[in-house]
Amino acid sequence: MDTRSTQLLKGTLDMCLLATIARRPCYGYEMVQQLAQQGLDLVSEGSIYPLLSRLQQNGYIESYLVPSNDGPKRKYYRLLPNGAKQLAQWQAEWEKFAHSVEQVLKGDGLDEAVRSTNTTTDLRSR
Amino acid sequence: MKLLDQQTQQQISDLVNACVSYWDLRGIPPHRIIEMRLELEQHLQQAIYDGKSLEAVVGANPPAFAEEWAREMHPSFFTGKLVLLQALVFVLSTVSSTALIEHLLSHSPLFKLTFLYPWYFIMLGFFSLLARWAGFLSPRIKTREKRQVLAFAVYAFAVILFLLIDRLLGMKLRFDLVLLSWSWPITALLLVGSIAFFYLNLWLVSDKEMLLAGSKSFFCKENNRPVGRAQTVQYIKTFTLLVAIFDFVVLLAQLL
Repeated sequence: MDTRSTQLLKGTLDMCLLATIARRPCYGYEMVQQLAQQGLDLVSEGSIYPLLSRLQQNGYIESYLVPSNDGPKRKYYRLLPNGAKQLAQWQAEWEKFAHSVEQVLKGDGLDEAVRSTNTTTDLRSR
Repeated sequence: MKLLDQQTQQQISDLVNACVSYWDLRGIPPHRIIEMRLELEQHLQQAIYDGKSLEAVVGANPPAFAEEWAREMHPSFFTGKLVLLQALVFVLSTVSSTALIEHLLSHSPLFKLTFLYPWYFIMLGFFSLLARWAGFLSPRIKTREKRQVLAFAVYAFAVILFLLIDRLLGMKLRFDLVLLSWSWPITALLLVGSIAFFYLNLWLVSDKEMLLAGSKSFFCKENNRPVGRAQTVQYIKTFTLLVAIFDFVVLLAQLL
């Protein structure tokens, strides 16, 4: 994954983790696998743990231990009501942001704005 | 689940132990550390099964990874200070026991604390840290032997460099330089203090271990056998060995 994608993912990883946990409770490695399946490969997989700790400290998720057939218990994470609210807010912010970036890239909004500015300038000069 | 080969298992275990030792020193509560350890160990094992490297999990800088996670756990200043209490107990015990040996052997009522003592403690502390944190090199250096050799080489290099600088600057480090001196009643007081602190420390170490093992008390027994005392027993063994080595060196110096 190139550096730009890495930086973009870094800024949105907490939101992606919260969205992954919102679908169903899961453990750390499972989250990394799910993100990878959706095309988001992490440079350092362990970087999810500090973020999970932060989300937990903020009261967005909670953890619980589940007995495993393979060995010791596994630590699973599940979404809390506060987390659901936060995720909805982040999603709205992200959609707005992504829409704005898309407009900038396509030049749609800019064309209209430049056109209206030019029209105003033309009228004034007459 | 497949079994990992011994070398890979050692790499994982050394890396995890280095992280745990770092978190312990940073003051993260024991019950949090046990969960962090569990998660990291399982993640590393599963990543290796899937053909990934250790570096893919902890990144190119494992100490930075350990610190990043520690910061999010809001470490407390006082929780991590059990290590300092352990150091204090060790210093007190070593000094008081060697003072007792000197009082008895040289029949002198006065004990002289020389520069050799702080030098020994600093060197021992430095080596202990290097030995523990050599595990951070696991992703790059595969065998445990090579990691240990490197840690020892770094240690030896640092000691030689320090001595060279000392000679070059003309400071002429004197190990027999007397820093403090006291009579036998103070030694007796220090001995009593070190015993009291030793028991306090032992209680804290075992209490922490019981907490990690999920037991209620240090004296809790399962089928008439004490549970989860490995760390406590290891602590007593290491402690006694290190004090005994230093006492032996002093005794040898007295005899020669």
